[in-house]
Amino acid sequence: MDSFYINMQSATQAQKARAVLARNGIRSTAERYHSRGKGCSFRLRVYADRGKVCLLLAKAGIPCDIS
Amino acid sequence: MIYLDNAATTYPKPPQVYRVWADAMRTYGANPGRAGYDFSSATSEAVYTARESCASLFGAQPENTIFTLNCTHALNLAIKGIAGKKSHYVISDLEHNAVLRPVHSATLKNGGSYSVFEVSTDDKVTLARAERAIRRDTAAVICTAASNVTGRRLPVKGLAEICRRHGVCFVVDGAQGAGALPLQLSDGINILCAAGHKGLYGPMGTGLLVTDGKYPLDTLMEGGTGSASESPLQPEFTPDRFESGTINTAGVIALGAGAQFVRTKTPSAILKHELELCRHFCEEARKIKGLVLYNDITQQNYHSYAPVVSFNLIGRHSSEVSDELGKRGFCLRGGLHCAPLAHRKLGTLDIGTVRFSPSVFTTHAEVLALLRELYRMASAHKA
Repeated sequence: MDSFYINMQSATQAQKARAVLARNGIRSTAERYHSRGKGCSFRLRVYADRGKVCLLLAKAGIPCDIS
Repeated sequence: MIYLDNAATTYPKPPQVYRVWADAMRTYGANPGRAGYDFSSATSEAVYTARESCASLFGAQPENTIFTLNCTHALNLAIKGIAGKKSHYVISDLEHNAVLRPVHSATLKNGGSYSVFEVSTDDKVTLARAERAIRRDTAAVICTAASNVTGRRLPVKGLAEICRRHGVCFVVDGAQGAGALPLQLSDGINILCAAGHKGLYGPMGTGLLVTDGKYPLDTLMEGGTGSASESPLQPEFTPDRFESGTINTAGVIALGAGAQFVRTKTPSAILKHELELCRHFCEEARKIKGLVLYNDITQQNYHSYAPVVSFNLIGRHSSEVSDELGKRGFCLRGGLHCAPLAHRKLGTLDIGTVRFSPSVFTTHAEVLALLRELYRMASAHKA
């Protein structure tokens, strides 16, 4: 399955998102990267349907900022 | 050695805490949240698991669970972070210096003031007194969940309701309660501060600030967080806002194991066991002539106490008694326990008290051994 990235504000938020998705059987990895204008940042690489992922994250209070 | 000073720090720790702590030094040796390689990511994941474990004990969100150096650090963050200019605080007369001193210091610096309300044996009276102390400019009510001297519990839910009605932040010092008493953010606590190394059975050098996020806090320090690093401004989001610099990684991972231990045992079962030991101690200690108890835990008043008992041998300074007990192989603390307000209330400011504080690992046989020793000491003193 194709993957996509969701921007995260912190390592903790990325780990929380990863844990939420894992509990729902969705594989993802938290990554650190350099974002222009923001500096060090975090994102989640997800292997699943975007709609389903964003719904699960929204329920956990995590914005689905797809990059 | 019989260790009965668990209100200062619990000992021993559960075997899994030692194991996880030692293992974390090797397995999670990279800096969490500071790099993209797998070693760092794995450490971030382990720290998050610990954060989640701690958060779930108090019904908090993991990102609102901030790792601190200890409970005092967390209380300083809360007290100084909430302060505006000329803020007024309300505290109880059972507070530890970890509350009294930062409140005193904050008011000296911001031109504010604080009121101290008297805790009664009747919770209704305590609540009425606390409410009367709240003013229009009150920024926060800060109270211990239970006295570290007498174990006396404060009516946390009632105080939370009063604070909610008055729109005042409610900060709870959970140093003696977290891990045993039922402390939940859903009960109206806005900020809960806890020691990691006491009832949560983590290592010393760990603590927690848990918040519902309703009251934004200013920072005590700023610095690198591994996030939003192009900005000179400290991030607004938690936990990064309050976790500048590298955290005590192995310590917090071990704290997570401690929190998991408490979750498995359940705080209510731990509390029941420890109160039962206190009841046993009080029941026998009150028969020793020349021993005075400052709180008497019975089955009828379990709901009013955390597992801490203070006592003295009449005519002797508490430190002298605890020193002698120490020589006989018993670890109990004497003195003021950094809580002068409580001792003023008890009338023991000059001699302090000896404090008995069991843990989940303490046995009735150990309590009995202490009682025998106290009986011998009290009899020898009379003779």
